[in-house]
Amino acid sequence: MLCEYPVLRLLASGQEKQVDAGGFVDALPLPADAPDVWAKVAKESGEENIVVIDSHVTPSPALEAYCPEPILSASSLCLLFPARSVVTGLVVSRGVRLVPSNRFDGIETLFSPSLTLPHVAGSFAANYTPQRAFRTAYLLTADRPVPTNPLARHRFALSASLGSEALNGPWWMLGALYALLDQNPVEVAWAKCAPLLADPSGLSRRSRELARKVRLATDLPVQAMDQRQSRAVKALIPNIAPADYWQGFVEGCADLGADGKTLAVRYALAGAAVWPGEISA
Amino acid sequence: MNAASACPGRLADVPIVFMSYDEPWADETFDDLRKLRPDALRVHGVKGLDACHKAAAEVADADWFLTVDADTTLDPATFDVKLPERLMHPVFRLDWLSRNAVNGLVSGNGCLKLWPRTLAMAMRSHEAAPKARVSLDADLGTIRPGITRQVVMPGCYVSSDPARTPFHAFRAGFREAVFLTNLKDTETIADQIDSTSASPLDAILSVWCTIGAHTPNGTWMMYGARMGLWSHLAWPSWDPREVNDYDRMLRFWTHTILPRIGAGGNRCRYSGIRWDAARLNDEINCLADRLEKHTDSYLPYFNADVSRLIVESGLLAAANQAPALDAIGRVFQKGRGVPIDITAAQELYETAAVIGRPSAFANLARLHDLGLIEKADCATAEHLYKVAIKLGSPHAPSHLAEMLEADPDRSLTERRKINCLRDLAAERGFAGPGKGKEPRL
Repeated sequence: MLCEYPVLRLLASGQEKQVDAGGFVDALPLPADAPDVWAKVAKESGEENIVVIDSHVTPSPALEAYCPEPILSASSLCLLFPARSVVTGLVVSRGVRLVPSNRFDGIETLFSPSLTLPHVAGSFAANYTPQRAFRTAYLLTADRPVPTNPLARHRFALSASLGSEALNGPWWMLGALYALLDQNPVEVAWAKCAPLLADPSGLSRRSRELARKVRLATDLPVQAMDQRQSRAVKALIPNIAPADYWQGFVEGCADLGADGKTLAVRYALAGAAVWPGEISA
Repeated sequence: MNAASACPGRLADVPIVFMSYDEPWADETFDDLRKLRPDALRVHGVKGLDACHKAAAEVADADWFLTVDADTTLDPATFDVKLPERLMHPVFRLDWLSRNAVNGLVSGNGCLKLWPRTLAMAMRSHEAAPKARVSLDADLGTIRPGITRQVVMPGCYVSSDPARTPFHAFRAGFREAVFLTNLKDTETIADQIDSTSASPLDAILSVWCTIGAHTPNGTWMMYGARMGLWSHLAWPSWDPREVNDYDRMLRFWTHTILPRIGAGGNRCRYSGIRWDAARLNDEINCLADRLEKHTDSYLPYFNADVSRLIVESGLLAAANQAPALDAIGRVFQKGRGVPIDITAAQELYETAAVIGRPSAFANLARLHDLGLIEKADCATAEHLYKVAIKLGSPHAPSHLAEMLEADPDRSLTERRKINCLRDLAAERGFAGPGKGKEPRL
């Protein structure tokens, strides 16, 4: 089980006070900006794989019981269990990772190549200040290529439409919308929005205006949902990884030889039970 | 009886019966079906859903037959689907879920059903149910309790649009809300604790009540759903079985609902009725206020753009199938109504385990523990029991204790471990077979 591996919990600056219990309570906290420290700890552990909890992630206790299949542990891939954003309710590319120890020698390739598993790891909450929320949403959105598949495009649009009722959620939405509109560094985008700190009533107005501009510029159907709408939509989102995560994992496993193909079939069946018609082996 | 359909190979080999009653578009949909299946059969105008299904069984005249509703369209790929021989037992009805064209839900509502004739004829549901039972569905579980059931098949080849006229949209929403509310009332505490989200039925009800403004009659469907919820709340003595009586539903629509809304600029191309859209919106908002005041319902307004975004994001997953997969695995392991098939049981448990069902891990452990599978071993059993325990399985502690107790050479450490497991088992309410009350699954 994952709880039997050494576990590192990465803490961003300012995060120390935010650490919640969740799973892996005995994880070793380490600064998120000190990869040399991570490498030292990984080497001293003498283990082949290390669990790494990304900053701002609270893992669910159930994840501790996950047992990686031998084919995955032996694959030299970094395995990512994605977390669910507390702001948007959608799964993001941060979470809990199972990292081969020998990857810690080269930080550039520490988390790549990777395989994302369709198991939701817990929650991701980087919204404890307006600036943190804005910056995180901006970077997460800018990191992702705009999909061409219609279903994926609508999900992408949804990620910039939800969250107005969450703590600093309106700032999160602004960050995501700015990332869709311009190519500037995040600091430039933040400088444009920072004056709204003194004018909270202008936040929703700015979101609606930006959402309209994004629709015109990109054809993405973003909607600046109000608090009631956002809360209701988030309640509908199941705590299950979306179909594309299942399909991606099935395709990734199939590249791992005969045992990988067996695992792919099992996950395709499971994925099809949750997302009928969207998963193929 | 058609001997050729004793065990067909593909869905194309199975007789298909189209069932219609009062849908003005039914001829169009039937014609579309006949383009895919020129041999498609039809029953029309049979009063009562139980009677309608029995009529379909008679018309099909085969050991197995498919039924499809009048508001359902099928993907051409449907008929290439291979039939799972392993599941072709007369105790199972096989369902291919349908995607609702209005609210995007994937569910059994409007699904394609593969019936064994004997099951359809043994069914006593809806208007044919015993008076003491509130029957709003096929109630397969009542035919042979613990044995007969529906089995959801992988794939979604079916789309259902129950909202082609205001009346049918209203009726569909109303019936579904009443059905789901009745189902909620019969949910056990164990069902609620074991669900992966706060309340799957609440989420489904919420979808029926809030999503659809982007389609021509979606608002009528939402209105029907909210009215169904309100009926349950405002008139506790009202008999929900009235939704099975289509004449009654039509009278309710004609004499109560339509006059409330009044005529206006919107017009239905099938029925020709006109309605006031603004008045309809006022009514559904008023119902939302009342429902929110008196229940935990949360029913915001989603305009057409937001409604479309939600549906086209495809984020409304089917219900969690893990409990059903696990239960069917038990059916095959124990041979309840079907021949014992441990391979099928193992596959079903493995699928349920991937989705995170704790008891699936315990059941897999048991297969190893009891030596029922090839390469069964105690180390794997112990490991799987431990995973199940970590995930909260109430049965795994006592099963693991029992397995460890069977070793006559156990050490002091292991005896202590067994005692801890027995304590945990007692805490979780299952001391072992014959040793205490078994919690409901």
